[in-house]
Amino acid sequence: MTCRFQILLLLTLIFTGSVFPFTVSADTDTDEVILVHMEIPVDEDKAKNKLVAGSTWERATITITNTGNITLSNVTSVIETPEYLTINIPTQPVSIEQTDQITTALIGDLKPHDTVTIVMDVKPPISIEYKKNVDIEIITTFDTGKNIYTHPISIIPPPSMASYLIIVLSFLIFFGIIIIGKRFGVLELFTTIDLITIALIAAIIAVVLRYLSKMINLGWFDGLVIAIPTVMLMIATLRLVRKPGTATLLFTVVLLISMIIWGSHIMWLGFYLAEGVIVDLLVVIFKMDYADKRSTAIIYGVARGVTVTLLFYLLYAPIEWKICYDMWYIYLQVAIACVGGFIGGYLGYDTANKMAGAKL
Amino acid sequence: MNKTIIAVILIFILVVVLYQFAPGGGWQGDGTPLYTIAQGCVNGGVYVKGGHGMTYEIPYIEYFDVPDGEVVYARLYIPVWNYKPGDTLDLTLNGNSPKINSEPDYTAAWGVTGYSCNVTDHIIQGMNEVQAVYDNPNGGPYCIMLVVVYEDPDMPPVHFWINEGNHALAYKNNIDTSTTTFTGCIPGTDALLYTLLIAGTEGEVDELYFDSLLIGSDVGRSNSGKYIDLDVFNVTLTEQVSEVRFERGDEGYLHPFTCVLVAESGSQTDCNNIEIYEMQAVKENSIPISVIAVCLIVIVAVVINYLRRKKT
Repeated sequence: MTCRFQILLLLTLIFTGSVFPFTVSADTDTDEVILVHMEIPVDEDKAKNKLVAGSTWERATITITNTGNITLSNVTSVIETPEYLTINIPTQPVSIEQTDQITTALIGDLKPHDTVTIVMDVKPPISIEYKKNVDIEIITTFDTGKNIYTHPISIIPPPSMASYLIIVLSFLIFFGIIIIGKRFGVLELFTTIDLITIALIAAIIAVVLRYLSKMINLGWFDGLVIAIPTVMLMIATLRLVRKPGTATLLFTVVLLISMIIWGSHIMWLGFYLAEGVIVDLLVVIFKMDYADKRSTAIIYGVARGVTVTLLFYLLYAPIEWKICYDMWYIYLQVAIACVGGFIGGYLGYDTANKMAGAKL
Repeated sequence: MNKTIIAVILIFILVVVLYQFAPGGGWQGDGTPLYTIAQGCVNGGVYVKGGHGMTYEIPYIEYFDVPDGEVVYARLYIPVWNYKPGDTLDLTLNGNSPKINSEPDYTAAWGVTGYSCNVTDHIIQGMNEVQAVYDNPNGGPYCIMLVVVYEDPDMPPVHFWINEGNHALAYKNNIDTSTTTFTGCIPGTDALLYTLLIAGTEGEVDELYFDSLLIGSDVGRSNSGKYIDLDVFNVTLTEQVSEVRFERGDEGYLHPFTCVLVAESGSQTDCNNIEIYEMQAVKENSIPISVIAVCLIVIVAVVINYLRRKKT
């Protein structure tokens, strides 16, 4: 009986939730209503309403919709932008006048359910002391009414200092690792054969895999093309060399080769170090397990994938590329990286077993 | 061990096979130095506009407000990033679909490519809408640029040259300079020079010369939008064959795409001639020597190891 009551309540809630929005919109149909919506940036993947100081023009669209049932006359939108933002009005069908921070769009008559799109380019300041939240105000007037819409935008400080900080920190970590390695005699553990093995595998990752990844077109899944074989080779290196710091050394060499072949920037040192350090830390945590079990191989692959994806989308993309990605896109990429790490670890374990028998 | 050798050889063969099936992949060559696709003289003007940087929006829309006058020649440019084989570009101009090649006309570097097409029959006076849909989620148009030569008997004559291409100036290929020429110039006349550059970075200083005179520094700085610079310069023609020279300078990558020169006609009062030339795109593909070298080294290492193990 109680179960029936719960199902009935659930169905009632679903029904109410489904019908309520229509009921509300039905009410508004009888009125003259303007719906204003602003989108910046226009790319679906990028974080909305965020601009990185020092970046160039970002396209914004403002859509104005007549949601009512009668034509609205003399519709005019006045867009007030804060002084921090520079505005450029590109050529477009809507007649637009601009005076400094005030942009006036002369829309004219707007028929029921018609939409007009205003396009503008917005440029953030070259530098800003700290994160600032500013508002763009859009006042839309028509013969019988007025609509005020406020759109918040965050301006993130310039990345130049952060860039230098990351480079310095990366070098500190790099030299720290070398000093620690020297102190504990880890560096002496690596034989010539180990170094040749690492160099060879690093060259395959940095040159061949990166080249292949540029040739294959899988859209959003492009990352998998390089992630799976990279993890496989990383696991194989761990098993072949079996020394603490192997992964860190491997990815450092990958960066050095990438710098020569592809011109990668030294700023990415921290990025490459991180993917090696996380794996080497896990090796220590798992009591010097050099991916000797399939489970640890998978864990190392997934951990590497998650680390590099988060590091890239949360730190390097905003700083180096001045692009803030939306969180759903970052989650999607982390999920893809996990899949890549899992498959790479799974296959890498078998590959490592075979390669261990063919050790140089 | 035999399996390992076979696997390595298979990887090498795979690279070669993929190369055959994916002619646009990887380093897609040094590109095409800019050359004259059209030149002439009309009583009228030349409209050059474009925008708005790489925004990844779908569809990518650009509007052009073409001045009054009879359109005698129009050319549309759509540089795109991250071209890979199989990618397609759907183009709509004022609701029509102008003829465009299924593959980009100019490819270079790591997939910086460009489509260009004659759209004379599709351009109208006043507002024109161009929509481009590029079906690669990791790529997209850098911009849409339109050049329209229009005739207006009431206007004085102008000489024009439309030069196009896509030349990869990069540290990767050690190409630091790109030069393009305009033949039949009248020395002493003033002109407007429009340049479209792709992939310029602010702070990485490049240089632009016209007839050996420096007319711009750090021109490629993404000033017109992300990774694009569409600039206009006032210049004076000093030679019968004028020359524009792009110096890469500190830029890692710089792609001169289009150069349009619009000059006064001097003492000439009436003219009407247009010459349109064949496209001269340079298509080249090669597996980078570094990739071949690494594959060979790995093969040698595996073979040596195999022989050593066989001996013991």
